[in-house]
Amino acid sequence: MTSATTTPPVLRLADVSHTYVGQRRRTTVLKGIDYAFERGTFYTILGPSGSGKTTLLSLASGLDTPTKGTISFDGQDLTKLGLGSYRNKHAATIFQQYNLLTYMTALQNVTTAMEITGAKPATGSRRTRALQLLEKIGLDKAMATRNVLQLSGGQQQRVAIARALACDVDILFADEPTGNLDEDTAQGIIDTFRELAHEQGKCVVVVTHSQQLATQSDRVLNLRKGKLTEQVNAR
Amino acid sequence: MNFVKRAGMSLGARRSRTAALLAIFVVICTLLLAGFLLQAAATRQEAEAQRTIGVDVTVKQTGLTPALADRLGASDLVHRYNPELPVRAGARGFTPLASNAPKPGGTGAEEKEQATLAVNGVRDSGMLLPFSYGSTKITAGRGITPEDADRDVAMIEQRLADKNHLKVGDTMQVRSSDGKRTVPLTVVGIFQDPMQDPTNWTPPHELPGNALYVPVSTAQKVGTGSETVSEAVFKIASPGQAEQLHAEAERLLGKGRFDFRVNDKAYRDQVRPIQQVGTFAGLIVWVIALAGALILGLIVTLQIRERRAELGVLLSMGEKKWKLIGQHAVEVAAVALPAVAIAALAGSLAGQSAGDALLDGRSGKPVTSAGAPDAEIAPPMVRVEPATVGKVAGIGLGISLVSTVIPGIGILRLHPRSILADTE
Repeated sequence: MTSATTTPPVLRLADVSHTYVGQRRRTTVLKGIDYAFERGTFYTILGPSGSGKTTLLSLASGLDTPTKGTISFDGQDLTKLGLGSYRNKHAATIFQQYNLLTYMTALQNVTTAMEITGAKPATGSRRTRALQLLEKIGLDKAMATRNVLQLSGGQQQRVAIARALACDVDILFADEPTGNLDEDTAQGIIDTFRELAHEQGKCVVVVTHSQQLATQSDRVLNLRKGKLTEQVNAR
Repeated sequence: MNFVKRAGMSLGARRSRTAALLAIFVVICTLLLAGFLLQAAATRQEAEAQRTIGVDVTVKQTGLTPALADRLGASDLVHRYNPELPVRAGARGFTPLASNAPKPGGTGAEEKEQATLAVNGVRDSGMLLPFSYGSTKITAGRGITPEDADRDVAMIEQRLADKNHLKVGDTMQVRSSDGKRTVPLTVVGIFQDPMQDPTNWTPPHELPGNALYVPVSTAQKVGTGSETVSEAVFKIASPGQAEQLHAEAERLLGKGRFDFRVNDKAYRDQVRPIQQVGTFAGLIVWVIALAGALILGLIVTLQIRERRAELGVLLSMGEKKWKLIGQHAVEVAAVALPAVAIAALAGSLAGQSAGDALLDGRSGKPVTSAGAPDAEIAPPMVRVEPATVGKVAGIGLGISLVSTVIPGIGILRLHPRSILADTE
């Protein structure tokens, strides 16, 4: 399956399958998925629990490799580009479990990600940019300079979002990014994703159970029994 | 260099763990340093002991001349040597001691005039057993030394000196055993032989008071010139060198034509315990290094396992694997280096007393060359040298690097998703 438009895809999945090998059995969670993600588009992936959404996200974000098929970024196979390089320069992931560095403050988590990916703000320092991003998603300077373990689950999720936004990559992946957020904050995050896609030309791919989020995305992809279908153009 | 910055943040945030790791490192480095210092001190003391004690080899041969003894003594293996050339001589101008008991069946007057003195030609009186064991003591002046060769000097017994009012610096004359020559001797030392005068009649030259020591050249003048060395004692560094000296003796004296006896009792009594301490110290170093590697390896491995999530997160951002290993290595090194410094400080403060406690029981005792100025083993010198600290630092850092890199590689070969999934 390919997207409906003819603009060159930023990310293409070609015949991607993934099988988990357990001690006694093999479980194929993704079966021959073909899809092309485009720049400037906000995608949501829906599907029941265990349908392979997170696996799909992990493969597309370069956190794992498919057991079959190829994934390419801007026409280049990820295995040739290098998964580390891909994650470092082109893709960022917001994890469902936040996965923050627990010995750092919220601010340090964001600036560290910027240092690792080499993201440089157009104006000001990395610290200033990180503070701006944290403020934008509702964390003031006092909270930004606290150790992340002193923040609530929702606040930690916001730090994880700010960290991904700070990396200034081509594709942003998010796994249930609004799960722990109140409605207003969640809407603010969705608006940020839409802005990233439509104003900055990024490709945003979000795995969610939230219909509210899905209805605001440009394309909704459904994952069932290892197969991906483009359900509707939500807008 | 952001991984160094991260290492600093991690150490700062995990203060209690850092302190615990530092304490363990300090203990391991201190024990390692102690082992090295003890090993070095034992080696130094062993060398010193070998130099001062050595092993005595006694060579006897019919017809062994002083010249042959000198040739063997010139061997690189030999530290000191002493040939003994016994001759008899008569007294001139002084009265030798006489037995208090009457001679059975005669007066003994003829002998009294001709060969009443037992003159012992020696090169180094300090090597004579009565002097080295300290039973015979020098009460005034000094003994005969290699520097006295070709000088007509003598060390006389206290009783002879007392009877003739002789003192150090006086000159006395002895007549050669054939009565043809008179040799003037300058008294350089007076010794006291603890042996009492025999109660029954004894020839004058056998009385302990009539024994005197002179250089070998003087003994040759006093004798007939044809006397040979009764025995020669050679001091070598260790029993292991005796075989080499034996080979040299065979070359000089002829195969199987001489008696060759090795007396290494003093060496065994004094040097072997020091060698055992050195060996023990070497063993300590190995045991501590291995135990330290295991302990630190376990701690760092456990820490790395705890920090899997962190590794997964950093990898998910595309951080290079070598930088992740580098961060952990910097963290461990940042603890190891101060630990080495603390250990070095502790070593320099407490090392000497520890060394004394372990090695001092082996030093300071009189040994076979007692009577000579260097008769005692010097006390152990425990010195914290930069090379030793460098070795400890090298081992400490080596342990920390190995214990960081190996478990780190085990985790980093995985994809970030696998690492993160295992930690969830």
